Amino acid sequence: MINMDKRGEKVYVLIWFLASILVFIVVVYTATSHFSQPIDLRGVGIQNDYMSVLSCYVSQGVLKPEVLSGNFQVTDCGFFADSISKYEGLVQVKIMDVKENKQIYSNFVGAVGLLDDCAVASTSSGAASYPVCFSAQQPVFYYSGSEKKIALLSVDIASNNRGSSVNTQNSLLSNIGVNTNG
Amino acid sequence: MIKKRSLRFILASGKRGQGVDWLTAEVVLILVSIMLFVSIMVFVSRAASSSLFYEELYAKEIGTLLESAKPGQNYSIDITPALAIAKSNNKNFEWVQQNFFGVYGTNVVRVQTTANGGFEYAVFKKINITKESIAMAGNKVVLTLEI
Repeated sequence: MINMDKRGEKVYVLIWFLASILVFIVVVYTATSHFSQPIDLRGVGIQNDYMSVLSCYVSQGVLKPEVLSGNFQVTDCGFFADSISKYEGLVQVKIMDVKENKQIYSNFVGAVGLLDDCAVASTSSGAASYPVCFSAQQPVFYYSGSEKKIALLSVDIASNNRGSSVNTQNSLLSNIGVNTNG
Repeated sequence: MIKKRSLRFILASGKRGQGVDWLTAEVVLILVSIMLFVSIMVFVSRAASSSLFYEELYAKEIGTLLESAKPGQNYSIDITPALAIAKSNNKNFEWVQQNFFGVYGTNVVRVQTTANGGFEYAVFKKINITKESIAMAGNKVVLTLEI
């Protein structure tokens, strides 16, 4: 009886020890995976971009006159073409006349090929490396001469901008142009 | 007193030496458990206060904020944890004021809490900051940006 108790104690100690190790491993793994996970604000960024496009192209439900002047581009809304291309982004705007079913405006900045990735990302799960995408259509009025017409403003935005850690000692040497007045 | 009694009871129980073995095993078990628990707490606390995590967090938050900012707006951001991290890396408040935040090129936000590393986040729109300052507000450190 005493021997059995002793064996039981040993088993109890072993189980307790293994359970502690298991808890340790689980906590370390969870903490590591949580804090090494990139902070993903791409969705918020593209929502901001969409609001920028809307306020840039449309005023009180009517297309701004300069949009259909022939020279208006997405970059006129303050988007930085180099940055969008470099950091895997896309802002595409299309306007279609609803009655005539005819495209009257199209312009984009960035990598238009990202739309293919967006299509894949929307159908497959676990596509972590794919861009975050946003598409929206907004009915708007526009004037053709004095005639008021209805158009559909389509905006496609994609972003795979994740940022990166840098070695500042090297990076500062190559980034001299600081535009803050702090 | 109760402890002494129970200790005597444990030592006196069973065959010679058995109580001592049991007590030793229990003590070792408790010590190992405490060590594991402490090391877990230390690990999680270090992971949670790592400079990499906070640099990325602040760079992306500030970048996203600036992207949606309109001219004439002011923003105040609490960066107290960043000062704590900088201090743990032997950097003082003046260093944080000078190095914590910067905009490089026309659209790259950089945040750093250590001398050698930082996190850069580029936004898709041009950033125009008219004034930037880091100051103490009570017991908090606040980054103020004027657009």
